[in-house]
Amino acid sequence: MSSLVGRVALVTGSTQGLGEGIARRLARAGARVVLNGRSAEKGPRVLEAVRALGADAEFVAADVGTPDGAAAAVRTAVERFGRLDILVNNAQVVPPLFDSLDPAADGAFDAALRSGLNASLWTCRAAVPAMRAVGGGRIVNLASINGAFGSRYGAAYNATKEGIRGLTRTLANEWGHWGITVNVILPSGVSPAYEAFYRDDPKKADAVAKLNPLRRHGRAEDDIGAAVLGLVGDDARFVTGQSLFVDGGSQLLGLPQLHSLPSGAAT
Amino acid sequence: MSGPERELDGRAAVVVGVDAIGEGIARRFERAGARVARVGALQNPATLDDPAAVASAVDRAATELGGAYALIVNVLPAPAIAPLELQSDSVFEAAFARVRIAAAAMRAALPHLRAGGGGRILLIGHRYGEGANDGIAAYNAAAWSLRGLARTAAVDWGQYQVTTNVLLPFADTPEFREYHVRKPALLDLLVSQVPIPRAGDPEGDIGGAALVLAGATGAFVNGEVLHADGGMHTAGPVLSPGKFRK
Repeated sequence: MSSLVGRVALVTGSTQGLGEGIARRLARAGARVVLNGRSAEKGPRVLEAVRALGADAEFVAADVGTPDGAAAAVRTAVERFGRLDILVNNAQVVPPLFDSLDPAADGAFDAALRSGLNASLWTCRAAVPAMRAVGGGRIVNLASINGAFGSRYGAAYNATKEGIRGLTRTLANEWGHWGITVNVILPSGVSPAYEAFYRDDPKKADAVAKLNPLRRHGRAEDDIGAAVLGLVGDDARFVTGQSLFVDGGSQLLGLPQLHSLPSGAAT
Repeated sequence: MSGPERELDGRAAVVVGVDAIGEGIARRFERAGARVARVGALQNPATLDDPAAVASAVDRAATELGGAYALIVNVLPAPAIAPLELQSDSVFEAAFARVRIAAAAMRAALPHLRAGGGGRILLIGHRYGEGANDGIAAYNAAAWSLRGLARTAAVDWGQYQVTTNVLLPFADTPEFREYHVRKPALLDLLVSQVPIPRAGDPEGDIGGAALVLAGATGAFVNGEVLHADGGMHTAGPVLSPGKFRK
């Protein structure tokens, strides 16, 4: 398997869901992993789980949606493990759905942009000196099929995620000559929230899985985490600026506009 | 990277269309533990002219390997360089004949991939299909059509746990070196604008990217276009073939 022995990875927003799955997959490949979440309470469980895989791991409670929090997350990796090779920007506040005509959407924009787009820029900036010190690095950002297709009522989230794609391409152009690759995935995978949503409705879950060309849901660790592992390993050293759907091919069939506003919301 | 790199231990792969890139991918896969059969050579176009012959060669190769997990299709011909008004029906037929070869190889491989419980198909395209460039209309059209072929296979064959993707390389091939001898300043300018400013090594860079898709890391990637191009597709510049018209 791809080996990340000797490498240090920071995965933001990794106390649950896809972020946790990505962190676990990188840990299984031998990386030392810095886990991150905004609140300290969620840290011990995921830290214990990743250490149980045999990996060296650390948790840093930091809000990467602030420049200081982003710098603190990167600093933890460098101080604890002496280097930083890999950065995965998974943290993202998902705001409630809004009609784009509703001025209340402005607050959702601020929250989504700061926690996703700004945070990705700030962690990347903080990581560059450490990556240059080891002769290069790997950055993987997370965008979304919802952004790519513009699913309705999700303008704040969608614009943030497409902004992250623009950021990815720009940083790829700026930092490639330092041996730093910057790529972005658009994943579709099962997270605890996703599982909870379908727990009482296995028929709906099966129906959604059957819509996928591969006839199954994506797994956080062995599908989404695996793709991230591919992009941060040595074999992807000549891949940068790439947008990659990791969704079994479901985006080939488009995205049904299934989002609806909460009842009582302005229309 | 340290530790064992045997992502394809016990797997078999068929590479259709050997040239620097096809051979680079074959060698990277062999280094990852795969048994690899090579079918047809781009230097010898007659080996890639007849869909039935290519199909039976793929079938035979997979049978001799004891199965097939991956199929690499690298069959785009050298582009015919001329403005569109001078590109005849026969030029288009020659370019699209290779698309038919790709489809024939895929059909021949499918039963072997299914027999193993699934597998990976990679079609090797070219940036010329994605970026529109002067003077190679037939080639551009054929190269871009591989994307439609791959995306359709992704949807049709996903149910068999077969993924199909396109790989677009920018590689240090003999053709690239020949161009560089003829127009060094132009080629150097092009390469300097690539985020990772070099042409990719066929084995380490292009074969490596192919392995990302073919290994466990590509489990849920289907119908995608992966650029093994140092980010050239992000930066934009593509070699202008019209400048190399003989």
